[in-house]
Amino acid sequence: MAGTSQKYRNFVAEPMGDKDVTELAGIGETLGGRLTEAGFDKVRGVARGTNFLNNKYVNVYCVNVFQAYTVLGQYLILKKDEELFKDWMKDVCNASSKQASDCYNCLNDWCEEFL
Amino acid sequence: MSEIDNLESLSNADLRKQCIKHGLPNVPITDSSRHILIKKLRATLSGSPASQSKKTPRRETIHVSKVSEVTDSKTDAKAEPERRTPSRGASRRTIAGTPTIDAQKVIENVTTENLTAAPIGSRRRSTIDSQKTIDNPQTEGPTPAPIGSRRRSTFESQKANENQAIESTLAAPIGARRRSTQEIPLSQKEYKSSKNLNQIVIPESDEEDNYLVIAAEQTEHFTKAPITREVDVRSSTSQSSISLTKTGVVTTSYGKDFSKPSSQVPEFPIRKSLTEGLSHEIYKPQISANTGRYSLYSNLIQKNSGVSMESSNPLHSRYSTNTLSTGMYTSKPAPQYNEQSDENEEDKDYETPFLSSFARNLNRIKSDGVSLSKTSTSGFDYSSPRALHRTKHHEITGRRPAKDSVTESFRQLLIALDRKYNLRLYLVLATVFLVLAFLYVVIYQ
Repeated sequence: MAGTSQKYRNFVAEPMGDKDVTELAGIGETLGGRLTEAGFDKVRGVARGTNFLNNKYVNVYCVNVFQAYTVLGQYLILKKDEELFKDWMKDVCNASSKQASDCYNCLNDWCEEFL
Repeated sequence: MSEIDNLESLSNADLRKQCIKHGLPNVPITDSSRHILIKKLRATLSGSPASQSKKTPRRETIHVSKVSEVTDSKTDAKAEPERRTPSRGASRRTIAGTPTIDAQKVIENVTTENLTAAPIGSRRRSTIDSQKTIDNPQTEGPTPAPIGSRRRSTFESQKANENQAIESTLAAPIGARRRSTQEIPLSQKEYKSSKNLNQIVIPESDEEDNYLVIAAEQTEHFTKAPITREVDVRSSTSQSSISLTKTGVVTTSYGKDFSKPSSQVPEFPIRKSLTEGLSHEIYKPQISANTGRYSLYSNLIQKNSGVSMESSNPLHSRYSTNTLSTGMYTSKPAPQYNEQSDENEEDKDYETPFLSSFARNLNRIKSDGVSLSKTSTSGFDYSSPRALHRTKHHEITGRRPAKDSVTESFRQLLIALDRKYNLRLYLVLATVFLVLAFLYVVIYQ
């Protein structure tokens, strides 16, 4: 793959576990937020985005986090169909073509590796 | 429409059936995937406009880009040569610039000195240019003219030129014209008359010679005087650069005719406008515009260096300008100093025979490198005698601690650094060239 991002490599390198959506390649804070908003019911209402600054609990974001595996689930429901998945991405969170294809490649390669 | 509206109310199972029916992938319909599948289904039901709408814009964009390129080449026919001429400028200017000096010099020296032609390997071009200058009676006078008044007809330009030449004030808007008026005020006036008489007819070379003798004398006076003129010319460079773009428009097709067979001239509209709009007579002033522009440029440089060189002989200054205009701004002038620094080196080598040849070589290389870096940093001042002093100073200072091994190693490190600087410089030059070439290829092809 030409020009894979660090995010992509990090994601594909290991099982995804409970990783956030935003750890998927092509999905940043914005798209993650949109996914969460679009977010069905499968969200965890737990504070995940916590920042520790000077050993102090500075910000506690009570964020509904859309797990990466839900996106993977959608990807699997769409039977790994590239076009459908990309369309779904664009539909659900207004992803751009590049973001959608990045996310698709990320999930696709992760599946090749770990599924 | 009814079908489409029905899709929303269909159950997942029915929707899936519809999908399979219409050739969509057999995908389980869920709440999350339902939306896009309905979209897909609608797209297929309405004659698959979605897939078309996907593809058509791409094709359109491709088409548009192609068309826009063509239209751009038409509409921006003025602008493109602007970019092209500077990008090419380095090579063209050097080739054409040096000969124009030569041509002027040849004219000025009344062919008594044919020796002066082409100090650097541009003899062929210089002969062309000199032929041009001889062929065109206007070239001496009207070289400035087309730059300023290229858009006018030849008659208008020459008349305007005449008026301005008769005025021959410093307020002439264009540097080349100013230069010529300053250099050759007498001859120009007379040229105007001859010009009006024979625009196409080639004048007798003797007449030219007479005028050029005068011109040469006056140029000698002028080359010694003028710091203020340098400033003037510098200030006029912006104007000239603006007008140069116009020359680019006019001369691209012409340059192809005589000077650049290999240079691609893809802009047919330019040629059209030229061939349609202009008579053949205009071509001569265009050539002269070309040469005038180059001569302007080279003259500019010459004046810079001339000022810095102060009262050095014209040959020397001319050589320096040639090296300048070849674009080897930093490396070319170095040999001059290398020679001198080498001489100094040798003198000192005799004084210090205990040094090994290797150390001597190191010193020499280092001094060369120092002079190089100095010249590169000092830019145009390399030709000034101060630069020489600097190099000497560096030599001396670098020479004293030669006995210590530590300092020697340090010196070697300095040498390596100097080499590195050279490498960097060349790398920068190469990258600039590559970028220019890349831009050239991307934009124009």
